[in-house]
Amino acid sequence: MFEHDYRAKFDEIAPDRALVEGTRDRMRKALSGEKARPRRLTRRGLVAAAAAAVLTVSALAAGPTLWQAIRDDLGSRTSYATQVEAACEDQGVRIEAAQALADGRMVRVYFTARDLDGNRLDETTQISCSLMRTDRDVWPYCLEGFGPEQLPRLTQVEMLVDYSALSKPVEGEWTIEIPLQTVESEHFSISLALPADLGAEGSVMAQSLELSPLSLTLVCDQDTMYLEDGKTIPFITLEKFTPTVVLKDGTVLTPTYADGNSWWATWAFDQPVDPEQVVSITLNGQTIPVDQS
Amino acid sequence: MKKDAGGFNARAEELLERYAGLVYRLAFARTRRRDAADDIFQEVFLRYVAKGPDFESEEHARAWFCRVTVNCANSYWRNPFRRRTEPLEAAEHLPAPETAESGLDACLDRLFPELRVVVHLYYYEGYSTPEIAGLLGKKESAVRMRLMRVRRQLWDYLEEGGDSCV
Repeated sequence: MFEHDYRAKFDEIAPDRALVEGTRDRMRKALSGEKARPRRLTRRGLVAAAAAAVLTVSALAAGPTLWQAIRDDLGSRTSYATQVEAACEDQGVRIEAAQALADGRMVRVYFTARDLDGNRLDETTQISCSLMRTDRDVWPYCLEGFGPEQLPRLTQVEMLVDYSALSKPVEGEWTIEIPLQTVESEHFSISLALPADLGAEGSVMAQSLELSPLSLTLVCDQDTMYLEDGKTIPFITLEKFTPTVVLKDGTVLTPTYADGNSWWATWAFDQPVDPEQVVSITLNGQTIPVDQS
Repeated sequence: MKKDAGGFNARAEELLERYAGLVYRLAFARTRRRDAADDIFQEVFLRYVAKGPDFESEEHARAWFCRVTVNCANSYWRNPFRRRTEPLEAAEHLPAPETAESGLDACLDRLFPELRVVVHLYYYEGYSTPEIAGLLGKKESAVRMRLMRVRRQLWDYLEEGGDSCV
């Protein structure tokens, strides 16, 4: 049943002819040596470039350039990052952690990867990190991206490298355990009904906010996410409830959505904020005063 | 990358036609977004041109395109800022979010992206679990575990024949 439906569904998925022809054109230009038109650097482009720079530099040398690249990427968040010492090595590839930035919801770890035996790493090497829960009896599974409910430690680094006949996959085990010092968060209990998405029934109760200098997280009551039949979940996209944060000096901040799940969502601040300066948070048109006393 | 330019160019365009559907469907399966699949599609074929791998067989080529598509899709989503940030002036040209049109769509939307990759390679591309393990650089046991998790999450759909994820 599932396989049949799945295949039928994806038989209908295909690239537009214009996309194929556009790609063919770009391939021809690349093959003829014509320089690609420089892409306009949006913020999205700038962020991607910064991340790529860190990885590229990491693969080459763990020297002063690396630390500068990390500082540049961290920006004003540098003071919240901590230096970490952890390393692992297998198949001639050594991974060393350098710095980490974490609060109760987000983590960013900077590390170097070096090929001690050759030049198997290059700018196309994909390195991704997963967060693994330690309570293995629940889910022996790596959570992807940032922000599980708790961050006991970063336990797994995955490296994916394109391979061809000239570059066989490098198989090995790289396990690195990085104890994280998390920036403290303030937790506020709230009681706020958030409407389910259009076409879905009911509402979901938001039950708390977690505010750190780096991010703001909205957590909903999972018990309100099930209708009376015990199974159906009111579909809700928490991302759309972009909060605004008002500081004592009148500054209004709109953090950027960073990650989430069906019952929580995290928005990151572009610049660190002092939680003591926050006077109110507005969500879905409702303002929640923040009492720091 | 100038080796045997004429032959390689022709081969590149042949591979574009042959693997366009595979790459696009896998990218869409992973991201569930047309705009992301469009970006990943182009990235994969430009990587092919840049790296110029010599394929030993069609199976090798197919595996390479699967692997690189997954890599590009992982990279696309890796940075949460990247995936969420668009300049305002571009927003008006963005396609509307994909909407769940069926129970199957709703079920797939709820799966973790890396589970969707395994689902697609297994149920659509017909790879076995050892082959998927090889493609993704995972242990076979990890792939089997992911399939087990998928079946658990899709249980209602599988058992009740349809719309229970909606």
